Amino acid sequence: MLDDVVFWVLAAVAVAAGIAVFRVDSMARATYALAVSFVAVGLALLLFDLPYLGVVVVLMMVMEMAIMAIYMIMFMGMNPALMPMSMVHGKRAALAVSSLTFGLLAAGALFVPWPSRRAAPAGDLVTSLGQAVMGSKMLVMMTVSAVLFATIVAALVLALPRGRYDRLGEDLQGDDLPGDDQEHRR
Amino acid sequence: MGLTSALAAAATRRVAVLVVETPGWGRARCAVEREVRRRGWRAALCPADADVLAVCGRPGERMAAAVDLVWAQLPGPRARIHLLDPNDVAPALDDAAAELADDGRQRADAEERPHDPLMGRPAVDEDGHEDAAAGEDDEDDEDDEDDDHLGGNGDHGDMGHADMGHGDMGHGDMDMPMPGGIPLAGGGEDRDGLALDVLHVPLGPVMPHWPAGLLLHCTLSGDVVQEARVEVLGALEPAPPAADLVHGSPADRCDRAATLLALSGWEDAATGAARLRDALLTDADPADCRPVLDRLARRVSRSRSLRWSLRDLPEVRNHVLVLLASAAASIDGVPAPVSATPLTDLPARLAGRDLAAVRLLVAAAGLDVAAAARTGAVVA
Amino acid sequence: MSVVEVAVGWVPLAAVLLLAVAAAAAALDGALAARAAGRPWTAGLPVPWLETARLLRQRRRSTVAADRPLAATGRIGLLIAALLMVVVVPLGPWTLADLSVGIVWFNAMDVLVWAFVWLAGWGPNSVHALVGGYRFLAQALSYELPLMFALTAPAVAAGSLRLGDVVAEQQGLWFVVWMPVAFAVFCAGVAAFSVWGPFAAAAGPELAGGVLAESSGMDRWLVLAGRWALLAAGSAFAATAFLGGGHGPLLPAWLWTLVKTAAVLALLVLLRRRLPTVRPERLVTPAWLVVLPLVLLQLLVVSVVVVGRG
Repeated sequence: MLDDVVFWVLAAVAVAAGIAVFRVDSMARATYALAVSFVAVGLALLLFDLPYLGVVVVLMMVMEMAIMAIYMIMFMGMNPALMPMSMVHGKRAALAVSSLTFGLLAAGALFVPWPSRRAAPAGDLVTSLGQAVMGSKMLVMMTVSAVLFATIVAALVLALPRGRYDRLGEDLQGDDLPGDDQEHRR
Repeated sequence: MGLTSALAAAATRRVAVLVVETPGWGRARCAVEREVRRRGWRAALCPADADVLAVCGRPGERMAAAVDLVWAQLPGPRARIHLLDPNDVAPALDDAAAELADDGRQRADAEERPHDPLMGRPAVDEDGHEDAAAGEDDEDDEDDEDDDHLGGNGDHGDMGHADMGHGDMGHGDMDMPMPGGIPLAGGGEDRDGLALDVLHVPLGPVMPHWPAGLLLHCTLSGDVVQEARVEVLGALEPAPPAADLVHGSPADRCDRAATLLALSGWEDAATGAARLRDALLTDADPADCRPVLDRLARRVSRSRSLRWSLRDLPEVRNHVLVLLASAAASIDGVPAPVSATPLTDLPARLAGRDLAAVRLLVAAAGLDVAAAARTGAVVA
Repeated sequence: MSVVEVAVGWVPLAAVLLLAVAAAAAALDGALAARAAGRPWTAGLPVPWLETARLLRQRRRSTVAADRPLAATGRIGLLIAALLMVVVVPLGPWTLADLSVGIVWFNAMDVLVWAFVWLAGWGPNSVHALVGGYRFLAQALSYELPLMFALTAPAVAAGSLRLGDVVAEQQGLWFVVWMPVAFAVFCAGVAAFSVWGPFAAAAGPELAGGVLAESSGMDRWLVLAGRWALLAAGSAFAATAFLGGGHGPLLPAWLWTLVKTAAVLALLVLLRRRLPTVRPERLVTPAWLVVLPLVLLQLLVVSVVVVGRG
């Protein structure tokens, strides 16, 4: 009973916040409306006895939205983000695509003959989820994630006009900075 | 009513004081800071944080306007005191505390005030340059996001902006939405090539740990100062007392060191330097201060974390060490050189630095704003 | 020692306890500040109460074109995040929620702080507050990864994300003994997500108060109390995950948790007075080039020990 109430409240919050993303006129509000929507979804996952997934959704999405704030000024500047502005572009196409997608997913959810549960859930869901998702590919996945991460960092380093060479000089010997000379002379 | 008065009594045992120094009244400011520390009160960092506005000296017309604007930003309960003589500080603070505790008076004050936050006034300097709002500092908001007031202030005559590289912003465009009357900022070239919006933000003249009377018109991209213009807002005639905090005196050096240490976030060391300054201003024998000064200088020079945190601003840490060493030397009677950056050199030093670094660099420049204010030097 | 969940009715008591511990830390800080100012240290003890009384009387203020809902969210959020953190931290034998993913929960709550500090900086529509908010994000990008890996170490050692299991695993030997790097990094991370001490650049004097620049009255109290509460909650977590939680001789388990929490807090407060603020732009290089590899090495050591133990 309580679970039902919590689920419906969270579901309503998630949908309402999702709608708010497109209705509010400020980028900051849109960003954090999206965060609220994701947090509600994450908490709803707790009801499915998927605590790890639920909490990680909260963690990742809030962090992502916080990072979004950095991109917000990087691409938009500070002030436009404060201006009332429409959060939607290409309305018709977007509306068509999203209705279609929603229809497809909803139809799938409703019409696919879901299998009924054959056994009790495993005791340690986190472990079994890891096994189910990764299984024998664990080593590959871990390697790939490290490579992906290194790629991101390398791309940033290459894209940064004011990087190490700017700060530390051609030979990357930061100790040659004029300020440090004074430091040594003291 | 017992609860209300008990709350008022507790609240006024730790009052936050925002001290405003008019150029030439440094001693009065030091006296306020000393008395504030002695009572276990504290200095406020911004108008929103302050209970008492302590104005030291007779501010000139523009400075007074800035002070009034800051006064309007104090949330209340609030009290304003005016100090000319360092000896008047204690009774004035007593009065302020009594005024703060007086619920009836504070309620009347609150009812008289406009309910909505005030929009700042544009800070126009001698050359007709105009900044986003008022000469009050930074900490007001209204103006902050303000930029070229495209018609927002009904003022299209600001040709001074052409030299800032965005005179082409379409000033007449009134269709643009302006939240709170604040117009859209324009983009501009910046250090990192991000084309961030350019904001015009005045720093000073009312800001703790900031040279008295200094008004820095900053052009900000994000938090990076692209360009700065310096102005000095002076005192009203008659001239300030001659025997003020003398630039280059041991007390003045300790005062500057305290400011730098406070800005670098080392509260204890800053308190130590401020106590030394006050001892030097009051005590008969400065030689008694020598051991304490040496201990402080050793502590600061040994701090690895300070050295590391200021490594990309080495002049800041060097300046603190030089200040403390030269204060010791001048106590001993050894003449120490008085270094001062001319105000005209300041903008070049600040360009391309972020807001926090600018605060440190201004404090480390060893400016003698009071002298500039006395001579009425027009500053570019 | 096994940990049992207590009824929801204890939540208010937990909140009061958290605020009391936070106030005690603030009082200690006040006492140290008073001593530095040449006054008797006892004169600084009532600082949290006096400041609370002052802010209770003070009026709230707003700014032109402020985003009030977002500002309010950010300001109240810090305290809420701290309260949600302690939900999973056991006090001796009792806990409010013995989540199977307690450590991740704590981590998620400390990430919420990113959003709240930024919102508190964005809301007022003011340069100093806004710059403060962004400075915090810059700082967060530096501390969060080392903090996450530091959190992973006790989880790997205990083979569980449940804090009750982490405490039970420390029977006999506290984790701090064989994962000192993780402990130190975690403590620094606590100070950093509390926007406090050497990591208070987002609210520092060089930004005229930064994210705090425009708040007064209860708004300000919420942020200040939230920062101290985050520090207290983080210390409680450190005491639980690294210092053995309720394990200890003679004293009852709940008292041990409190004593250890107080010890971590006191250590942080004492250290803070010796350190200047770390400028966020200085932080990223050592955080990613030195601290992160060190924590990963620590994690490797822990993993090898765990695997070796079988």
